[in-house]
Amino acid sequence: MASELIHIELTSRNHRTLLYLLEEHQDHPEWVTTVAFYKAVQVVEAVFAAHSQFHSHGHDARLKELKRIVFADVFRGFRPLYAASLVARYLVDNASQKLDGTGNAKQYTCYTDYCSPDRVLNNLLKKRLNAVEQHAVHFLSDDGRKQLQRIQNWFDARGKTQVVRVRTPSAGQPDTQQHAPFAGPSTTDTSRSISFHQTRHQSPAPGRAAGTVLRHDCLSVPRGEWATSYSSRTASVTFSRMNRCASGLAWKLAQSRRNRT
Amino acid sequence: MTTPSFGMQTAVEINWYAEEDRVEVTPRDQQRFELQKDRVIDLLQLANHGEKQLLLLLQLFGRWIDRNSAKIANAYLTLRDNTLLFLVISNTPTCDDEFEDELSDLDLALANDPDLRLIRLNTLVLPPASPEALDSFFHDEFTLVFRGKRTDSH
Repeated sequence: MASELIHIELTSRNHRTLLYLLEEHQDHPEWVTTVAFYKAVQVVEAVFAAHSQFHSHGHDARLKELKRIVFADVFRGFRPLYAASLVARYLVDNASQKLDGTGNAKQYTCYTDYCSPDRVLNNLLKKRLNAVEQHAVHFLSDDGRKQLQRIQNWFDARGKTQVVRVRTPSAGQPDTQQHAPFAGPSTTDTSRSISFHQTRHQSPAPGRAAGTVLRHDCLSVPRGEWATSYSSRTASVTFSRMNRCASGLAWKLAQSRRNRT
Repeated sequence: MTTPSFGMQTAVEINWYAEEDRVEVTPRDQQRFELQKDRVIDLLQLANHGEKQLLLLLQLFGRWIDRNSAKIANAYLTLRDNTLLFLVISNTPTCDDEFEDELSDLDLALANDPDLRLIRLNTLVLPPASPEALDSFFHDEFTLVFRGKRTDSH
């Protein structure tokens, strides 16, 4: 039987996968939901291991144990996550999709009808997964509490986010600036934002109007937390993206980071 | 509730009526209901008390459906992974947080009800979708569909 800390380590793995997916959460709401649920599963298993040495062998046994009054608050966060993950994984409505444009607007056609990417963030992660973790920590050991990587930390870091804007100059047209990939209500601290102006002129891509900025040209960088809060993988993915989308920016950002440290 | 948009071939229809504080659940086809009830009792390995608890459960569902009828398109009792599943099809495709909380509270109340200690049950809300999409959530051999409405004026 796995110990509490083994389950906590598994939550960390799922947490890292979640962070990876959150970089493109608009494109993968089903997978964000599914990984969030499986992170919650490991959190719950850690709670069982710490509290009652119980180990469940499936969803049914886990739900049964979780419905005990002592775990009621964890259950209230967990059950909607479980339900959303079932919809994300199993409710594929090919028949309704074929009727696209002529079908009933009150009928489910795809997962985003049920839960939009923003709702996945704000309802499933910020509300439900956060509730599971928040109530779970009361049952964990000191080590378990310390090692549990909570989704709330990601939202906190996101709240401190500053925006690096890259603008592609074009004659006669205002620069287009898009929101950061994780943009959402009160997530961007524009007063502290810094802007890097791309000095190298680029020709617009075929079919793309001059001055239009690629989606990834705006990068979200947690202020002063490059080396601490962000895992090296996240940083590397971000840098990779920067390299793809805005040549020269990675170097400037790395230089800025060196200057800060 | 609206009439189901798809036909569950094996579903047994049951009427539920709420008058004052009393909920009455009546199978439309008593013989088929008895067969399915026996089947679920076998499947769930319930003792003799299982029958009474199952009927009590149906009454509680009738009362809950009555309270939340504005948000419910259809409601079923079926089996999933050898556990009863109270499956609600909502009126709208969008996930409703308040409704999910209502169902979580019902789930907790049923799980901790000493009069239903033999019943193992989970709950699930699904958005309205085509019969083909929803079909995999229903058990082949046991499905009850709730029909009917309250008859009093309060």
